[in-house]
Amino acid sequence: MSGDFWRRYRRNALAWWSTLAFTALLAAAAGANLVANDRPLVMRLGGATFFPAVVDYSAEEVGQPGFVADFLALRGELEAPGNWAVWPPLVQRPYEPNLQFDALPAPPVAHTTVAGRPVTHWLGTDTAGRDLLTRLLYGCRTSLLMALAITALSLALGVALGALMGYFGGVFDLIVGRLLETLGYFPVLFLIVILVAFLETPALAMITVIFAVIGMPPFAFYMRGQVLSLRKQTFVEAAVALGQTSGKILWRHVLPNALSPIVVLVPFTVTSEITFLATIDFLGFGVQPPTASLGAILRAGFDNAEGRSWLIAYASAVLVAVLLLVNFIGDGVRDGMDPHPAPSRKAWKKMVADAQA
Amino acid sequence: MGTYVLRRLLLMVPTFLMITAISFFIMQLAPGGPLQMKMRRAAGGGDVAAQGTATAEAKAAITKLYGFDKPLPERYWIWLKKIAALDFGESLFEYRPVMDMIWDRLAVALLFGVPSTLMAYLLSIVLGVYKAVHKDSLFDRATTALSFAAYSIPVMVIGIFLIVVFSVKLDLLPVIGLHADEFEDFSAGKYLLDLARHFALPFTCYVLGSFAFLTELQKKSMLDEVRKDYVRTARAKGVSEAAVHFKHVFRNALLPVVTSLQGVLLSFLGASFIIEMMFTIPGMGLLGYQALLNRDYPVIMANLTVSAILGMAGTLLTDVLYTVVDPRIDFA
Repeated sequence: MSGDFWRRYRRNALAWWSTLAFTALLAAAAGANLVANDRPLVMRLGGATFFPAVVDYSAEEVGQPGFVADFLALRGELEAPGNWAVWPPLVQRPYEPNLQFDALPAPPVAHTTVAGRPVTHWLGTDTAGRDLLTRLLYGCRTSLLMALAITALSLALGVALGALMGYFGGVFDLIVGRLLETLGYFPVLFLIVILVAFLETPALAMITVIFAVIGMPPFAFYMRGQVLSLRKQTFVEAAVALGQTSGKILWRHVLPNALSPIVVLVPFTVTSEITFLATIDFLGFGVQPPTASLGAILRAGFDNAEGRSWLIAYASAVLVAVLLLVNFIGDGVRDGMDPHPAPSRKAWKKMVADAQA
Repeated sequence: MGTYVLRRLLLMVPTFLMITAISFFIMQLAPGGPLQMKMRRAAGGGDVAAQGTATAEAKAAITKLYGFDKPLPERYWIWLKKIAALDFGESLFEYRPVMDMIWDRLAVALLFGVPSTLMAYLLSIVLGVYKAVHKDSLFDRATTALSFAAYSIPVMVIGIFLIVVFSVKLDLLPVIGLHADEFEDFSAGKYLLDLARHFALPFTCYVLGSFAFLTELQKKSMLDEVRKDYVRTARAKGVSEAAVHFKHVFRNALLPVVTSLQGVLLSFLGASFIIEMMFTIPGMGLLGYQALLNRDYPVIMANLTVSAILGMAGTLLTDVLYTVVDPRIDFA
């Protein structure tokens, strides 16, 4: 990608601010366990230092009975002289249900106690009495990281396959091409739901691979077309004449030239993967509880629409906001790639006025 | 035209084989598989503990009956011969031929899916053309912002809002099925009203979910055409603006929208999957979903195969429509 691209991209203010906002959201979501957690970020206990938010400790290591360490129960001890702890901004239990569940008041801002101390739930709580803001953050982490991983994997698989199809052609191209085309005739959502449902207890990595394979064909076909046209270019013919190996020609000469137009497809793939992920989670086939996901929160709200409709409001607001941001980014990327951009309204009016004068 | 369609139909044979092979392969991934499912039912219950009561002979008999003792390619060949005669076997849960169930569901798809697809197209084309002709008007800018927002809202979220607002909170419209329970006793007028009330929400949901993309596509392709030389020529020789837009530009601008028809036909099967589930419309999507929950393998397999064949037919239809919209395109 050239400097021209960045110049044009930066000029699209909406895309630029969306990029910043999306990066911030992604950082908060990826570091969700540092933002909202029931474990301290760093703590000093009995002369030893622990990093509970990022490292798992057994109950024995922190001097508690049982197997699972409960750091909120340690708070009294941590306040003793010589011990200290740095807590995340939101001290909330991300996975365990809040036992005060029945006593929760209806309004979105709720005040309850977690492990004996009062806490505020700014967006209320979910159906298991967990802090909704915390769950949304963890849900964003699942949705965004998975969608990005799926897109990256789809891109890698599609580009590799498309490049081979375009470069070698022949029977390989014919068979793989027809296979990918056939895959495209199936209803995507149903196909994904079937495959994920067959996994019984679907691992996140497996879901990612299934989505990536099913989402691969557009990248493969696009890449194939690019390679077919590049193969006839003189610089590739020169490389062949100079005796370069096929692998080197593909990697050094074809790939860098073919890749940049494909970048336009990436943001729109990310949005469609986020939507698909939310849909299968909504249907209950995706990630399993207690892992948080935007689709699962929407489902919980939908099933309790009489009493907890704010779950729907917040979860869909987050989902739509994320999709809007990525779509704005996608628009910016597309305009940035266009070497002959349409003039802006202002520039157009000026051109018309100049012509009339 | 006739030879073209015939050639396309012949080319579909390998694709058809590939569709069935993929469906068959996916079913082989199923945990437990149809055999285990049938055995559970033969043992008289859905619970896993009862499986042990099936005797070895019964097991062997069922294995032989369903051909599970044969090697994989032979099983595929047997299955293929059966589905060539549209025989997808019998549902493990409803004890009736799978194809009968599919015909019922396709009738619903015709009743709900086709009108909603046509409506979404008609609306988008009219709106897109209007927006292109009145480019940069207040209406154009307002609807562009609106359709960008609508484009970012998943169908599922639109559905949830429609259901929660119009059904749960306001209690205005029903959300389950296409008829009231006692619809058979209704008079014709009351029947139509009932149908309309049941249609309102899923229909709105479908149209809202698909109009944004199509409208912008139609508008963009109109604007691309207007810039071309033949439009300047037409204007120069004094053709009226209306004739320029509707006789010259519109037909050329329709092409990209027709291209997307194939995608919409597919997503109609896909989008209807989620819409049918949320509004309990007994179409192909809901059939597939229920079959999946019940692990009713013959139904899942038939649903997958029939959907893919419909997708393939959609592609053919799109290509034929191409030649209608633009006679310059000659595939033969």
